Amino acid sequence: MSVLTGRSADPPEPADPTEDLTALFRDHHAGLVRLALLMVGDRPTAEDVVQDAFTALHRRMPRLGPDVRLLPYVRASVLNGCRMVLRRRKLASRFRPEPEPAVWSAEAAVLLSEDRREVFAALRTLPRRQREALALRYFLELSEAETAEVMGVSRGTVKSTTSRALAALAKKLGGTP
Amino acid sequence: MTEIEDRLRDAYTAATSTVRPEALRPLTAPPARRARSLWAIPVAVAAAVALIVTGAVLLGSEEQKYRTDPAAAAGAPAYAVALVDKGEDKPYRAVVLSTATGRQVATIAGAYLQASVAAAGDRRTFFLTSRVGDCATRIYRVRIRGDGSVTSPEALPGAPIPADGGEGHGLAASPDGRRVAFGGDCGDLGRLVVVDTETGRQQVWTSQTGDPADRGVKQPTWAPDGRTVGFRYHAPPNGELRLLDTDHAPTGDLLTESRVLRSQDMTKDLRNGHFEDGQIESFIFNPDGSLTAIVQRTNHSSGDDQFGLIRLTAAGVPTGHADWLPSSALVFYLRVDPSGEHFLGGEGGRIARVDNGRFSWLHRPSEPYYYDVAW
Repeated sequence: MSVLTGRSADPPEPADPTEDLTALFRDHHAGLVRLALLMVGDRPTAEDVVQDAFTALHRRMPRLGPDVRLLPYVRASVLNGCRMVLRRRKLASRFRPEPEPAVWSAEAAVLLSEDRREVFAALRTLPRRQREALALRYFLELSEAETAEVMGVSRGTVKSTTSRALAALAKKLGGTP
Repeated sequence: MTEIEDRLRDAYTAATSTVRPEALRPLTAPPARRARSLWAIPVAVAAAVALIVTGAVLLGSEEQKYRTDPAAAAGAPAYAVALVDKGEDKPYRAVVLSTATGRQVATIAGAYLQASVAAAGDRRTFFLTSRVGDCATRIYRVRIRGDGSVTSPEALPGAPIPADGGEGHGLAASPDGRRVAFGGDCGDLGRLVVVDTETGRQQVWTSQTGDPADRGVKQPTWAPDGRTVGFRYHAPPNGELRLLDTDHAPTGDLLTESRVLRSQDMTKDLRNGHFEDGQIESFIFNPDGSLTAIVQRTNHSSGDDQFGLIRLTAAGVPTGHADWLPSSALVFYLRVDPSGEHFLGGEGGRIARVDNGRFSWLHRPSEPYYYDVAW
């Protein structure tokens, strides 16, 4: 089973890990930057987080076992990088006010209608785990099992976390969860 | 698809529409290492050793801090049965764990799909489930001998249960082991099924209220009276703790025949200057009829959350403050031993234990991903 495409394959020789990494970067770089953008709110930071995740993966590849699935691994690494960015921002904000990240600020008004900015404002009030579950399920369109693998929780928790997040959004925005 | 899901997808797509592959920075390779001068090598080695030692000490002290205290653990069951998650949709493996060492001492035969595990009150009888078809789950019984070895799994008599495992952690055994309760779902229906372990007779209650994706009956627990089953149910906008008298309630509609014990919401009890709201994640009956619940409280601006254990009266009223767990502990399910003083629980693969109020990890972090456990 290819770690990148999920398709079955029976290569006669062991795959070159650098080729795997190159293909992973080619196929998923933009998607991962978009995921990070939704988490951290600005594009330069999102690109940095994804760069760091790939650099770390490149460094660790020789030590990773043959069973490690690279795509879930790098997704989890990106989410972890986003958490660290948010933690650093929170610490920094104790000493100086932080400007609003661009995704949900007025700078993005051209792209984001009032309706969409309302959605992001509501998303910002959710706990981190709920925001992550929603982005993985409704932006990357991962299954519950895939989301669970990336978040390091059970499928049941993904289901209940997502359900609660949708209910909370419906309460804030109106509408059915 | 609901209106909220539509709006979410639309907002995500719009916010990320400026990210185009051709405009992204290429991946920068890490800088090549420069040749080091000879004197730098011993310095680097010394620094690396210092770092490793410091890291090991810090890690060790963290692990040491949460190592099981034998005095607190005295009286706990010697063995637990756990399910090992092998990833994706592969069946689980079932193993016997020594609770003194956290090590696997026996493997239970068979593979268990979308499984749950439960323990009876005699500390040696355990039940396991495995999905055997659509809306069809089979229950097996095993017994652990004094030396930790285990009998072969024996299927309970009768037809498979007409439900799937739902969120997992869906099995509970009555204290005398004569009945088990299975909470799950079947398509858009929530199901609670009680099975007589000797005859295989089934009682089935069904619910179709609330979000179709979230109608499963969650984490059933048997009261010490042997006839009342508690469970969680999400009936929008609230999650509820409910009770069902399995001796007297006619089978049929679950929400009609069961009663609400309390809401899952505990914001009034748990909020403080930092955490804005709180709720019950899971609950179990203690042997004296009171309840122990896992609670989670959240700070919405920072995303911080914290888990704790709190005792409630049989009527669902908190009797004191929560005992908060370390920040590294995620606990979404809970199992109590027959004494009521020792708890197991966990999430994310690692099993935590609380003995007489003292938190510890049952096993090292590098060990298998344990999905469910019971003692």
